Amino acid sequence: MSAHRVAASLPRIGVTIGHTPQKLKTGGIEPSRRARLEVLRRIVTRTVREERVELKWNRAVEARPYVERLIQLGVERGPLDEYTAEMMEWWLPEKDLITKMHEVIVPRFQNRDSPFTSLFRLPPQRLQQFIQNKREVWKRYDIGVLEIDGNPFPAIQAAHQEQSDSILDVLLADALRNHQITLQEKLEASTESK
Amino acid sequence: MNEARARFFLNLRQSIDPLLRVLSNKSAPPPSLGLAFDISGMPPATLKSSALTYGSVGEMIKDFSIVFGVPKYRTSKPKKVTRKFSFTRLLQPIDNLVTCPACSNIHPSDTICDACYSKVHKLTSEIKKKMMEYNPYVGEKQDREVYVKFKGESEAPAAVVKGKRVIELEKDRPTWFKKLTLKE
Repeated sequence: MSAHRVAASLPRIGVTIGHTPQKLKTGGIEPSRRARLEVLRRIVTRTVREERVELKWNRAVEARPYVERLIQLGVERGPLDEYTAEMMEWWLPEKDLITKMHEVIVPRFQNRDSPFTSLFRLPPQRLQQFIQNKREVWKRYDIGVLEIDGNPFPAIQAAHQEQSDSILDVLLADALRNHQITLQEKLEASTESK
Repeated sequence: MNEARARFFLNLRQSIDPLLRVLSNKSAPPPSLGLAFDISGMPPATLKSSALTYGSVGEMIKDFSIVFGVPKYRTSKPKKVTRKFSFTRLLQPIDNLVTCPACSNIHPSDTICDACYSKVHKLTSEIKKKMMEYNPYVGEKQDREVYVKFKGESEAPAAVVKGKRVIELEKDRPTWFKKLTLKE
């Protein structure tokens, strides 16, 4: 069908695709293959609306390629393409988000290569679930932070500083700086004496 | 449940003992029937009022504990050892810990620093809250990029804002959140 044709003609998305399909069970949705897509659709919609979301790690890994492909469709095909419109309509049931996609998110990536999203993993967290008969129930969570690049929020990882960790480099840099300072002092002294 | 059971055994014993006494036709009553019924080991004179001698239900149950559920077979050594020290109970060393260059917090190398992220998370939530203040049901949309303006900052130049939607926060800009510049 058309899906096959389109997938063949689009460039590769620059993110890893998880090799084990996750079950993605959610309360209120009967588990099935269709339900999996429903859960993914919720995640994709939420990601586009909020631009940075915290999810369970496996769900974030699973949903990321879908977000990526949707943005790529917008970048490569534009809003007038029939298949793009169909995909946007299905993945973003809220109409204002389709507008956001075409007017805000896609223009960011016009001259950029994939990946358009970032995924960070948090250390495993123990969070309290509930208290039952004075018994505290804690659960371990693996949390991933999925975000669309170019968002207005503060960067999760600070920009990498051009600084070497090696002690030799640190000492050399200090020595050079001291040398420069002494040279500067000498120059000043000579100009004053004249 | 246990109380009912205990009462049943007491009743049973109290009805059997006089019967045996009649059958044997002796002055002293015969010894009790068996271990399960030997509730007190008291002298026969006090046996008649044995139902009253128990101070509490707990005491009675303690006496009867031998007839309640108990292990039938001895748990073998390997089973006990497996239960205590099987591979699921062993502690595994974490050998991929690194130190965060910004705040010296220790975290696994495949994750980001959670101490640094908690700051980012807090500010992100505040910005997000302001960002979501629109009503899609009356046609409002997120149709522009967002520019965050903190308290006490002067108006950003038009070249930076470039028609973005300006969100104002009622707090000072944190030192670690870099300002947008013209270079971008």
